[in-house]
Amino acid sequence: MLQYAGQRLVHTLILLWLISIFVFVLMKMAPGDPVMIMLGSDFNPESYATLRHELGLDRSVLMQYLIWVWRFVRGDWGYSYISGEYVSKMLLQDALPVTLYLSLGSLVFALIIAIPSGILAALKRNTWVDYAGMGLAIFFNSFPSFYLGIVLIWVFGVTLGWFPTMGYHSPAEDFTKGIYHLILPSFTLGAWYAGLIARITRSSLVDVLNENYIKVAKAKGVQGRALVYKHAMRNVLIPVVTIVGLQLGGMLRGAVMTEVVFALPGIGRLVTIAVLNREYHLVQATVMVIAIMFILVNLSVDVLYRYLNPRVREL
Amino acid sequence: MAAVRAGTIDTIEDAVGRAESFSQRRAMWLRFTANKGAVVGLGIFILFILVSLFAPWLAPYDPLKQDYQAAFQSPSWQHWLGTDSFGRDMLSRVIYGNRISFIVGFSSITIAMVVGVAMGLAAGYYGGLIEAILMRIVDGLLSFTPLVLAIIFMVALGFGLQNVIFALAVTFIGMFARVTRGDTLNLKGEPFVEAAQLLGVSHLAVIRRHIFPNVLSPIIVQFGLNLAVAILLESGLSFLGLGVTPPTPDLGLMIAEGRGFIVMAPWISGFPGLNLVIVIVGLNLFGDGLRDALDPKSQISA
Repeated sequence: MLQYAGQRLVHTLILLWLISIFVFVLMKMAPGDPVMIMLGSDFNPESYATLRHELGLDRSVLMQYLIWVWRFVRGDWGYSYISGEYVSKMLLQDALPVTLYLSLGSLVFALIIAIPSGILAALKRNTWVDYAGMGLAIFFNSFPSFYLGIVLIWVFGVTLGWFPTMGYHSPAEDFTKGIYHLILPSFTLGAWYAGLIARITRSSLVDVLNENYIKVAKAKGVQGRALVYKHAMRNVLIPVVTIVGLQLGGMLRGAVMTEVVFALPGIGRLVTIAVLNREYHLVQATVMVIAIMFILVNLSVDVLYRYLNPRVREL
Repeated sequence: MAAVRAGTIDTIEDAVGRAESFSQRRAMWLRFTANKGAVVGLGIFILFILVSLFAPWLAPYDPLKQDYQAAFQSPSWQHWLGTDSFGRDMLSRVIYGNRISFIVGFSSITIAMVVGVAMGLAAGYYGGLIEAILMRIVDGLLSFTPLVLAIIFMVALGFGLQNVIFALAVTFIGMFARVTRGDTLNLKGEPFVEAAQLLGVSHLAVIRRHIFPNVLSPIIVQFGLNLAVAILLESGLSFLGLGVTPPTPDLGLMIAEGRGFIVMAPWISGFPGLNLVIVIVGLNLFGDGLRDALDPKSQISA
């Protein structure tokens, strides 16, 4: 177990190194001169040369890369030309919690809706309940989150006026207000996930109910809830946990869209604005943080999965 | 002599293969058509292709023609889906929007498929250093979430239609390479592959005749499923303002443009979005049906 985790860690570090080169090279290719953008109207040949030197842009590309990596590892990520704030503060202190709360909210929402619907659909297989449930699941699974967000804002925010449509309040400071503002965004981000989980739960429960050990339990007289929850659900949860884990990273994609639609100041919105403002070093740092998060999530899911499912451990 | 012998065996094998693949294809088609959702999906898919191909004949107006006199008109007989803030006909724009989605989706996934499958075949078949290098690149590509990867490429390349296609193509190479490599590895140990190698058939011929046909069905399934994701990503990028540039009639751009008028003119965002949902639902149903028909062993997965 420990050896496996160690191996994966080394692998991960190599991967991160490759990603850092990749991100650095792509950002170097980006059009536009960052020095010109920073100087704006203060441009003159001397200030240009000075700033270029200060930023280390007059050195070789290899040196620039090494300096960047060194600074990144030490947490010195520079500051935003526009807001003047430190990138590390903007990213880790301001934006990251928003994205985490949003993801957590969507996950909770998705599980609450999806697992019962999946079980219900499997138990009422090939009835209208099943068809309606799975139809809805495919529908939500296919709904682009940015469009769903707009539809929800229109219906529940503007027309009915039930929920706020914009803005963010930290649930850590004011719990009810924070949650209230997160309801529509969580629904938007969670809907796609819920559709997926409901379908996995259904197909997995259908398979398990055909297994011999369930037939034996039935023959012994186990019925109804006890059969499903005590005997079947344990094995249903393995594929569900796998998919939940595998797709946690996929949630980041939806998070970018959801944050932009609901004006939530999270990581996704930060990277979008940084791109539009051509603040490449901000983009660079954000992308690295996203990649690290993505890899860490996948790594812990893999390790957890091996722990949960003893059959994989032997391989 | 060896070449002749190999040639004969190949012809017989090919003939048997053709007969087998014929009955297999029939079985796949039967499995596919037994699935109602898949047939509906196929119908939507064909409709989507037709609308994209015949957009210039179907659209009642020029999708770029502005008419400030006619701005913000709600749906009517003259403008079935209303007009936008520039007075452009929404029906025409939505029809052309499908065309953009279609072009971007098909070209990016086709490029990704060609490159990814070649990488996967090479990595799986040759192994060793080639595999190590290719698969580290694939790991790198797959360790980004697709939207973020596409965003970085858009930053590096600049916005616009061609760059969107390129960025999405690179994004999807990893998936094709990984699937192809896994199946190639499994096939490499099969007796018929080893037999062909012993008979002196060249590596390229083994890959082309014996391995490639057998990895084809999971690749087709990937094509179907990823097409939906590519179209979704393209509209998403454009929605964020990081993809296709205005005034191109793009579904994602239209949804973004209509956002500000959601109370006054909900149809500007509404119809392009609805169109997008229908296309994605159709492609997903079609892709799921394709997977169940071509690869009955596989379970439902992401």
